[in-house]
Amino acid sequence: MSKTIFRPFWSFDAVKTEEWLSAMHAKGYTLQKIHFASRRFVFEETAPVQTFYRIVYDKDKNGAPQIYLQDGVYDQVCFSKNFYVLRTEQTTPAMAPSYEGFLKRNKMIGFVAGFLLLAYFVMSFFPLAIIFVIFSVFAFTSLSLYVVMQVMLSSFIPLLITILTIFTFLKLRKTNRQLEKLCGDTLDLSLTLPKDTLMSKSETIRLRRSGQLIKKTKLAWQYAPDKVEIWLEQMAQAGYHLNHMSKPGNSFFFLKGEPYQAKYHVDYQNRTDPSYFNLNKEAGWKLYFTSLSRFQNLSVWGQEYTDAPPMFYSDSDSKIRHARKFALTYSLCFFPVCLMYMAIIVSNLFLFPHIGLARMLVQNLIFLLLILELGFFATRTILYYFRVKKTAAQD
Amino acid sequence: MSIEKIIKAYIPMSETAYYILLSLSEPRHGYGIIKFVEELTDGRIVLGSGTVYGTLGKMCKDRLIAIFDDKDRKTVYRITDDGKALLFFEIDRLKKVYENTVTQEGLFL
Repeated sequence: MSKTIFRPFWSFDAVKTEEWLSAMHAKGYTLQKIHFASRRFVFEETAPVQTFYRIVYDKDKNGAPQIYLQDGVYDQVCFSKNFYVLRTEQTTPAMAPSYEGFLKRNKMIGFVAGFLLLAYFVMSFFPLAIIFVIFSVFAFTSLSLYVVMQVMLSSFIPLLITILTIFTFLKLRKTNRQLEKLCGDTLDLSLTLPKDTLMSKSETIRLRRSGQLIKKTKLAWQYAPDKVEIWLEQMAQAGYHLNHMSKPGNSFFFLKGEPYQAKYHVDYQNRTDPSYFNLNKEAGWKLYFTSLSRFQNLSVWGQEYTDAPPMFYSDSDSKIRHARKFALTYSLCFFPVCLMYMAIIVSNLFLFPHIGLARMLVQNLIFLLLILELGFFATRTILYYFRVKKTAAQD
Repeated sequence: MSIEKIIKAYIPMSETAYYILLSLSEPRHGYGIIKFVEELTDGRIVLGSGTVYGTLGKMCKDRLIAIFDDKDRKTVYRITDDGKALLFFEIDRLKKVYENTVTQEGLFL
C-alpha cells in the first residue's frame, strides 16, 4: 500500500519535515520518494522503525556526494537536482550533514520576499490611496455589481501573491532563526551590538560623569577601515580601552585604564553564517559591532595581546582579496548611483526653461553634493584597497 | 568542477590551503584546524581565522571538503574524495620538489 501526501511548503521548515518523516516511519510509513516539483511525498507501508532523516540542500549536486554515504551510516532515499534525503537507523548520529546549504537558500528566499514586500508597499501605497478615493466617490454615485465583481476578480490574484509573500517572509523569519541555532549560532545581539558589550544606562551616565567613559564619534569611518583600526590601536596604547560602540556604529566608547596592546580588525563579508562568528570568537577575537544584515556584513573585531599581534588574515593573498571584495562592492554600489545623478543634472539643465532657474539650481546643487559624497566614499574604499595591497607586498 | 580543473586552479597550492587540507586527516572544527597547523609546524604557521574561514568557504564550493554538524551543533569539516585527490597530487609534487632540493643542496656545499 502506498500513500501520497501533498506538503506544499515543506522546504520552509526542513526540520519539521524531517521530524514528520521520522514520525511517519515510526508509524510504519516509509518514504519512497518525493516528487519535488509537485511537492508530493510517496510512502510505502512497512514495519515501523525509529529512524533519523536529514534533507540536504546542495545546489546542482544531483544526489549526495560519496562522503555522506561512505561510512555506511546514511542511505540516500531519493534526490533531485538540488535536494537529497538521507536516512539512518541511528536515532542520534554522531555527525549529520550541515543545514548550512538550507540556511543559505532560505535566507536568500526570505531576503527576496522581504524586499518584494517593501517594494510592493512603497509602490502600491500611493496608487491604492488614489484608487480608494476614486472608489469611495464612485460608491456614493452609481456602483454596479459588475464593477464590484471586476475589481474583486482583478485583485484576487495579486492579493493571493501578496498573502503568499507575507506568509513566506514570516515563516522563513522564524525557521531561519531555528536553522541558525542548529548551525551553532551563539550570537546574542541587541540589534547590532553583542549583548555582552552592553552597559546599563545608569552605569553609562555615572561613568561618563566621572570622566572614565569617553565617547568619540566618527562619521563614515567604514570606508577607510584600516585608519580606524590604527586609531583604535593607538587609543589602546594610550590607555583607552574600546568598551562598546553605539547601535548605528558611528560612536566608540572607551574606558580609561592602563595602556595595553590590542589588535583591531574591521571585516567585510558578502555573506556570513554562524560558523563565521564562531570561528573568529574561538580564535580569540571579541566582536564589538556587526551590521544588521547578514548580507554585505561589516563587523568590528578586537583582541588583546602581549607578544605578537594576532592576524585576522594571515597571508598577503587573503588580505588583498578581502580589501578587493570590500572596495569592489562599495564602488559598484555607489558609482552607478553617481552616474544616475549626473544624468539627472544634465537633464535638468535642458529642462530649466520649464522648471525655472531657481528650482533647477537648487535641485542640481543637491544632486551635486550627493555625487560628491558618494564618490568620496567609493574613492576612499578604493584607496583603502591600494594601501592594503602596498603593505601586503611589503610583508 | 572536474578534478582536472580543480588541480589546475589549486596547484601549486598556497601554504595556507595546503596545510588546511593536510590537517583534515580527521574531521575537525575550524578552530581545531588552526590549532593543529600551529602544533604541526611548531608555531611557524598561525593561520588567521578570517583566512581559514575564506579558504574553507572556497573549498566547500569546489567540493574539496564537506560540512557536517556534530552532536554539539558545531560545524565540522571533512575532506572529500576530490579533496584527497588534490592533496595527493600536491604531496607528489612536493616530494619531487623535496628530492630535487636534497640532491641540489649537496652540490652547493
